[in-house]
Order: sequence, then structure tokens, then C-alpha cells
Amino acid sequence: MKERVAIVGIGVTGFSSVSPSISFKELTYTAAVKAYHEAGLHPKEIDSFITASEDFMEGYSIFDEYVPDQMGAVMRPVQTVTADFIQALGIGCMMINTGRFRTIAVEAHSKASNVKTLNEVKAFALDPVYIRPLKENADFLAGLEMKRFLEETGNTEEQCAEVIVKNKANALNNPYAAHAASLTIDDVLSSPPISLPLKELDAAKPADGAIMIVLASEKEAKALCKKPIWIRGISWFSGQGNPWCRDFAYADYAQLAAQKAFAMAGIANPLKDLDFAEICDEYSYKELQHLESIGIARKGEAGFLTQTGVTKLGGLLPVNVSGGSLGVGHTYEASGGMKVVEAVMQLRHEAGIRQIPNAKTGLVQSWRGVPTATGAIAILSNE
Amino acid sequence: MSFKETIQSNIQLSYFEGQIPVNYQYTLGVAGNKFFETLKQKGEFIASVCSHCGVKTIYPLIYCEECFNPIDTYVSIELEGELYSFTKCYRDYQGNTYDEPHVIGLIRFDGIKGGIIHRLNINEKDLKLGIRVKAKLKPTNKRTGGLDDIVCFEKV
Repeated sequence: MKERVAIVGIGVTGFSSVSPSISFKELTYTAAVKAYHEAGLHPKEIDSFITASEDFMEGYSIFDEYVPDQMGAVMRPVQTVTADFIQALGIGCMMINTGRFRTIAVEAHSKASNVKTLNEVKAFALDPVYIRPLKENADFLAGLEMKRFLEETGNTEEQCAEVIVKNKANALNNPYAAHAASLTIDDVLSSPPISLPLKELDAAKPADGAIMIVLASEKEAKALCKKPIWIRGISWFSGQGNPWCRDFAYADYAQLAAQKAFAMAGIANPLKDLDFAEICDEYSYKELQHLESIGIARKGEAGFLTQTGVTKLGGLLPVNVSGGSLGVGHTYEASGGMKVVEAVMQLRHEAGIRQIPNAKTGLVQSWRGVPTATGAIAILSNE
Repeated sequence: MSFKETIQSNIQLSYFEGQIPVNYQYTLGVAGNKFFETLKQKGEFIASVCSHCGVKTIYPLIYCEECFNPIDTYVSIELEGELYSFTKCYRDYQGNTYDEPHVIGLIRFDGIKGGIIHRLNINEKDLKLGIRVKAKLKPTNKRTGGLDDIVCFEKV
């Protein structure tokens, strides 16, 4: 990057399956106050603001108009991007790299519990001519992909279950997590079918929560913050958009974003150069597919790495120490944000009982969920 | 929380109900119209053919995804293809559960990029990736020019 960009403040509400005592604006306000407090800045000292959101999940069209006040951004430059938090973070980095902005606040939240017809909203994202007339639940696309992924790579349903057991157990160590649990492989394998081979416990359950992060240019970051966390590489890609054209065995968007982010950050051997990875695990098999697509695992080996403990806390490369979306909760466009927050806490060595010793560099990855082939990757470091 | 005041009791919780109907007419476009008209009139699938790179694509497009070349050539292709993947779906788009799963597959066609995602009607014992399947269409007089003109795909 032209000028180094750092995270100088994080604010997170914590996540819960419902949040009836608070509005979505109050949720964001809570995260914003914390982030500004950490950064030592008043919102009037922030140069620009970005929210990552999707109108249908919010229940408003042109949702942009409903975001400024809760961030302290009235009469200020604000934009909303219909994308995951990590993509918004990338836009923030580019804005700082223009030299016109010193500080940027990036926000995302989930108020999924407000959506009474979540299944219909997901189905509304399906192609209206070529897929939606089948009238199936949108999760069927994940089932279709999972089947091909498992068959072609040799990974197994049991190994997918290992991902869930690991991530939900990791979430027991994360006070922010909404869906922590101590499960067995049999619990997962015997859970009700959604779209086989996809089962109930294979899919992350929604959660409410908000995240705010303050970015700063290198000069500002060093003045503001004792432990700036540097964004050393960041990229996003859209892969094959039409689901009927997809490969299913690997995630093209993740592979492309990884190549670019690794090149920016000088990562030659991800398994060796990274201390941890927060990988999109909205569905259990996606953690395995993403690990293989990113190049952390070879094709067909992600399940084996999971089963043999390589990706658990204490393993060679811990994956989703936070609990991931399976353990913390599926927060839609805030999903990448939850992972960035975990990475920042790990790199500041403030992650408590789930701290990875001497963590220096971590990877965070997001995917925009069914039916998309869009995802982002960022490499964060305390050096 | 960052508030001076918080809700302290369940009986104080409140919410506002909101709903609004949203309805659309999705135009099929040049290529989509050609696909569904051919399906309706002739009972055939068509793929678009890029004159620049030679890639054939189903569903057809008026541009090539690979090289962005404009396309005006279409060819009829077999109704028979290969089962690339399938899933047993237990829930409809509203989350209601089925007593018996609907089996949905992605069918690829020989030498063609893309495919068709549709219902399968195949015995459990025959249901495997890689099997040959063929589209069962509605009778000509029942076809309306939409995805439901295909009833399902069956084992060849």
C-alpha cells in the first residue's frame, strides 16, 4: 500500500440471538462510542465514515440515509457499501491512501432478529428467472455445493462436523459469542436435514451485534495508538456469479483474493507465515473449502488438518479461535468485522484465555453468503 | 452499553410491525427470451456460441463471459447431460419443511459451459454424481416459456 494504514480503535457490542431492548441505531451507537473511546477521537475528528450493509437485511431501501446519526456522522461525508465489512475496510484503506483522509470509521451491524421472513429474504437473492421458480430454500445452493465439494475433494461429512465441534467449543472461550456449545460429532451428524448433505448444525445461526473500527494513516496511528494493528494486505474478488457455472469444489473468489492479499503482504507460505486465520465458516464445509482455496491446505486435505488438530487453538495454524460464524453467530455483512475484531484482539495480545502466544500476523476472510461468489481477505499484523 | 438509560424490564420491551409488498416483472432479455421461446416452441435447449473464443454457454448470453465478445449465434443442444451435483432439499423458500425431500441437481451438458439447476426424479439407488440424465418437458400445449416448462431431469 502507498501509505501504511492501521486499526487504532475497535468497538464491538458482543453478539446475541436477539436484542429486543435496543434498536439497530442504538446497537451501532454502542459500538461507535467504544471505538472512538479507544481511538481517543471525537467523531468530529474522523474524516469520513463507511457502513457495510444490505438493504433487505435492514428492512429499508436506500439504507444509506439511516446510518449517519448513530455514528456521529451527521453533516459529514458518509457512504454505505453493499458488501461485507472487509470490503468496506478495503475502501477505507484506499481512501487513506489518497492522502485526503487521515482517519476513517468503518461500521457494520446485524439486526437479523428484526427480519421476520429471513427465509424469503435469502430466497429473494436467488436468480428470479433461472433458480427462484423452483421455490426451494436458498440453503439448497449450499447443499448442492457441499455435495460436489465433498465428492471431488474427498473431505467428509464427519470432517465438516469436526469444524462445527471445534468452532463452537472455541466460542466457549469468547464472551462475545452467541452460539457457543460443547457438541459431539454425533450431535452434528444426527441434526435434522436442511438440504443434504447440509444439516441443521452445519449452518451458522444468525446473531445481532455491531462493530465499529477506526482506521488511521501511519502518521496518525503512531500518534494516536500504542498498539496499532497494520493492514498489510487487503483484497476482494467476485468469482463466477451464475451458480450454474460454478465449480463448487473450490472458491474462486477466495483464491483470487488470497493471491492478491498475500502478494501485498509478502506472505509466501501461509501455513508458516501466519499465526492464525479467521475463515468464513457460515456453513461448516465452507471453512474447509476456503482453507483449500486460499492455499492454507492442499486440495482434499483441509478436513484431515482439522481432524488432526492443526487448526485448533494450540495447533500449527489455529482457525476461527473466535468461534467463527458457527460459534459467534452469522452477522451477515458484519461477518468479516467480527473476524477483524478477533484478529485485532489477538494481535494486541488482549484475547484472554483464547490468546495465541506471540501472535504477529493473522488472516481474516469473508464471503457474502448464498447465493454469492464474492469474498474478501485481509492480512493484519502488529509489526 | 453506552446509554444513560436502559430498558430494565421485559414488560417495557416494544416493537413496531412493518411490511410492504414488493412485486416485479423481470424481463428475460434477448438471450433469455430466445432460450425460453425455443424451449416452448421446439422443446429444445439452446446455448450461446462465442465467435471469438468458441465457448458455448448455457444459459445463453448476448456476450461472452470469457472474452466479453458480443454474441449473436445460438445452437440447439441435447436435452441429455451429466449430473454434476445434487442435494436433498427439506425446506421451501419460506422455511416450511417437506415430508419427502425434493431432490435438486446441477446438470452439465457435453462441451458446454454452465448448466441447468432443476428438480430430479431419480431412484435413490441410481442417484450418483456423473450419471446421465435427460430433461422431461411439459407437453407443447402446456408450456408457457419459463423454467417450469422443464418438469424434471430423469436417469437415461
